[in-house]
Amino acid sequence: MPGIPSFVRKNKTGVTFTCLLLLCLLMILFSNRNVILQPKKVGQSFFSVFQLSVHAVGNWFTDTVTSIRELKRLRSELEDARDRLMEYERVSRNLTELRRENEQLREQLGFAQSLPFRYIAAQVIARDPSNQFSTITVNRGSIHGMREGMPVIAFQGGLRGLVGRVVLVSLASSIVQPITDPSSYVAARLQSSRFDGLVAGSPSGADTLTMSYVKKLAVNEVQYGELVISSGMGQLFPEGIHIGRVREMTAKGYEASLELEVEPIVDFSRLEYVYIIDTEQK
Amino acid sequence: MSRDLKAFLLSTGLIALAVVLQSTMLHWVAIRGVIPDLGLIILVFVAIRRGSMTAQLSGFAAGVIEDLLSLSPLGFHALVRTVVGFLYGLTVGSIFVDPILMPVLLTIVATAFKALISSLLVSFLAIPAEGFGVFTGPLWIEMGYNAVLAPFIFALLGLLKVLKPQNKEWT
Repeated sequence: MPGIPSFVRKNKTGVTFTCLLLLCLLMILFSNRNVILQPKKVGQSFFSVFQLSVHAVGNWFTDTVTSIRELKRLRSELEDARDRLMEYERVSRNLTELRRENEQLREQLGFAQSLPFRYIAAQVIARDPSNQFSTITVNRGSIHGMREGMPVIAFQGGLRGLVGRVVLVSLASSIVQPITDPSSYVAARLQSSRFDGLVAGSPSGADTLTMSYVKKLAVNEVQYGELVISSGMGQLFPEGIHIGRVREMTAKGYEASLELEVEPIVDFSRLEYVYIIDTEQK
Repeated sequence: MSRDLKAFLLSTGLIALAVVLQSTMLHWVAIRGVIPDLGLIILVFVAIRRGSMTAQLSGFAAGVIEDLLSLSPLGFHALVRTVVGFLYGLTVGSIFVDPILMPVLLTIVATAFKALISSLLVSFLAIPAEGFGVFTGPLWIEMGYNAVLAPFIFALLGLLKVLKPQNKEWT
């Protein structure tokens, strides 16, 4: 059959395109069935090294720029101090800054110590490279004791807020699926009125949550701004972790349950440090 | 090493670097949580300069890397970038690219096209993703962001000799 090789030679670009397209589709299909999970793990491990490196380089540049700025500031202050004794003011300012930092660290430490579970503290090093998916990459992996399914929390605004759960663990980094992801579900409870429901991410991609399956008789008891906490049912997330506050309430006539719009406790855009809870070891 | 291979390796490396930057540093300059797609702008440039073959292979390779760093199913971004690279590559040699207007227009269309393919994939393959709602806020922000950055990135990439217009044999 001389026809096929000559056809391939003539239509090299089109044939390559078709092959790549089929390969992509096969990968998506198998990926959805978790068959290519291991290669994905290996790949994630490999490429997260680049993420870690870029993060480190970024930090180095930031530190360098900050150091240069700091040097300039110190120099000018020293010159001023010769005339007006500004040195004392600088020391005083530094002291105030240290006190503030100390207070913040004590607060974080206090929160962390209040956890009834063993935890792993981690830093957010990367986020999803595209706008369609919303993942967070942290700098702790299997060598630090991370496992898939572990709940992730953060301390913000004086509250312990639920961030999400670990979905992919590589050697030195892990991917966290935030609760705002449309495929994330958390068994939840209204803190004051004690009605149960299911909190899911918003399909529109907005940083809001939807609490559904709340009994309709809760309509008179639920307050705007009421805290929503994890109920512990489903055993994926521990009980009592803050999820968000009720912002909107929808009661459709033909439905037996209420739908609540919940604003997450955690501001995902300024998330820096998280705690991964090991629910198996208290 | 042939010039075509060099062009493929360089463009793949550049798109992969852009993807890593998107996942780490670009979140600092996100507008309402939306980051620009530098990888797409580079892919468009490579496609109109080097043709379908280089662009689709680079798009595929860089897309796989993006999939590994994302929660997307393996092959999702690879497919989107392969298709965009292939289609844009068909226009090689037939578009006069001025410094501003064409980069902006080409990038806007590419972003819309990416959104369309993503949305179709999310719908047909039931991929659990936020999707890329056509004509929603984030899409417009990304489109605008990409359009603003495109002339600068095109100008920078134009300095690279390896990415000068293709030789016909490769395609």
